[in-house]
Amino acid sequence: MPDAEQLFHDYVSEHRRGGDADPRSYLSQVEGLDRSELAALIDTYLARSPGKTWDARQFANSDAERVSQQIAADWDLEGEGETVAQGWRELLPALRNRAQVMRRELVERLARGIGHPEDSKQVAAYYHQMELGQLPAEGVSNRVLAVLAEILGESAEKLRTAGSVVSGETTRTDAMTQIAYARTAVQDSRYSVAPSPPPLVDLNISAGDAVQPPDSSEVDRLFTGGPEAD
Amino acid sequence: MWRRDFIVLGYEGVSFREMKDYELDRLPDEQLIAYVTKARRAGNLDAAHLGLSIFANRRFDDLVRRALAKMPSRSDAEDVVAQTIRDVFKAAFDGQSVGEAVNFTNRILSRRIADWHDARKQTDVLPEDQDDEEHWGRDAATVDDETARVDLAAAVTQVYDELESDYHRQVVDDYVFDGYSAQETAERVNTSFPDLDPPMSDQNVHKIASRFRRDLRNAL
Repeated sequence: MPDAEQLFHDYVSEHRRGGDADPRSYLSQVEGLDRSELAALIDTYLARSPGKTWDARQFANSDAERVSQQIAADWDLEGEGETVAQGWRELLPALRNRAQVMRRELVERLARGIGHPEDSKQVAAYYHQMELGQLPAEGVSNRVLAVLAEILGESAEKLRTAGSVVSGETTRTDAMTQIAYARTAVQDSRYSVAPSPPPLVDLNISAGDAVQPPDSSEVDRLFTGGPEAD
Repeated sequence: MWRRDFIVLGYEGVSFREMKDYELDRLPDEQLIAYVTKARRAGNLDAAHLGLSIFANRRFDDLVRRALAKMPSRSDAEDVVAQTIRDVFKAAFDGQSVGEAVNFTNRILSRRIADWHDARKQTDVLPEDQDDEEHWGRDAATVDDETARVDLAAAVTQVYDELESDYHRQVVDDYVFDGYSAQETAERVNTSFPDLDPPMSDQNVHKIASRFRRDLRNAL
């Protein structure tokens, strides 16, 4: 079994090379006090690291960018300056933060609210896609948005609108058009769209399963079957 | 070269000069946080967002790595780090002194990780992570309670602070954490402390480093 000191040096080398440097793969190689020592050394090394130098191109579409957009969306929600159109990617985490609800708890409440507490895994997968801005908004039912709106303390209409916004690429005129469209979608029972395919999430769903099967579950329909799906 | 400097007076009369990304990237964390706070108070959200982006770019990945050592999944770690960054800027905006930003960020990160573990105890295990390399539920192999529970940073700080002199601390800095060889470390210490008698040797570097590790293990 390698010792903590050697693993620490290997870790530092990987980190300095710009590798993934996930501490878990190193920590899993030692146990007990060695593990604690290695964890302490890695933690201190990372805390003292100068961090990454700014590179706008590398930053684009990174996890760090996603998080800063979410925080910036919080600031917009707090009423600083003019609010720009926000997509689900920014708005949902910001609202969740405002409501002080952890993702885990939100999923549990959402699954219960739509009447499927036993399908929380599936609900979690769909909600995750929503937070990433990857679930087509036109497929999400009014029922889901109504429950989500209640949990997050926001209107279903606003959530519908945000779902139509492509994060970071929307002009104010586009946003106004989408708001009008979303109002129709929320209020008009005749509104209907073709069901979207289910999201490609990393559960037990492979790319080959991407076409919605005829006997898709009710949860699938609620998240992909359009506003009136029930 | 001509450069545009924006001087803005915000609602609190705060003078604010907008800076370019390369200028912001040179600021230490404390000044970067202060810049973002000033920008927000001056109502210049674009400038605030740029400063926030530079801070997030600088710190996010390493903070997530640190959280990953104490948490089972990447999405949980990212959530906690997002909350940490959010709280750092909120504290600064609310007028709280952040002191040395690295220490302040560390404290907030530790608290948020502890909060996460507390909340975890109160809820059933629910899936929330769809990362490629991960799966539903807690992966016991990737985190152990002891590692998560111990305040690693506090243990290291305690042992580090108890080192008997500044040159001992430089040995730990250079040799243990910054990757210099024993010989390079000895040379660096002798440059920093020219009056050291006898001068630092390779052997002494090894002795000081192993004593530090022994004391750290005792503290853990």
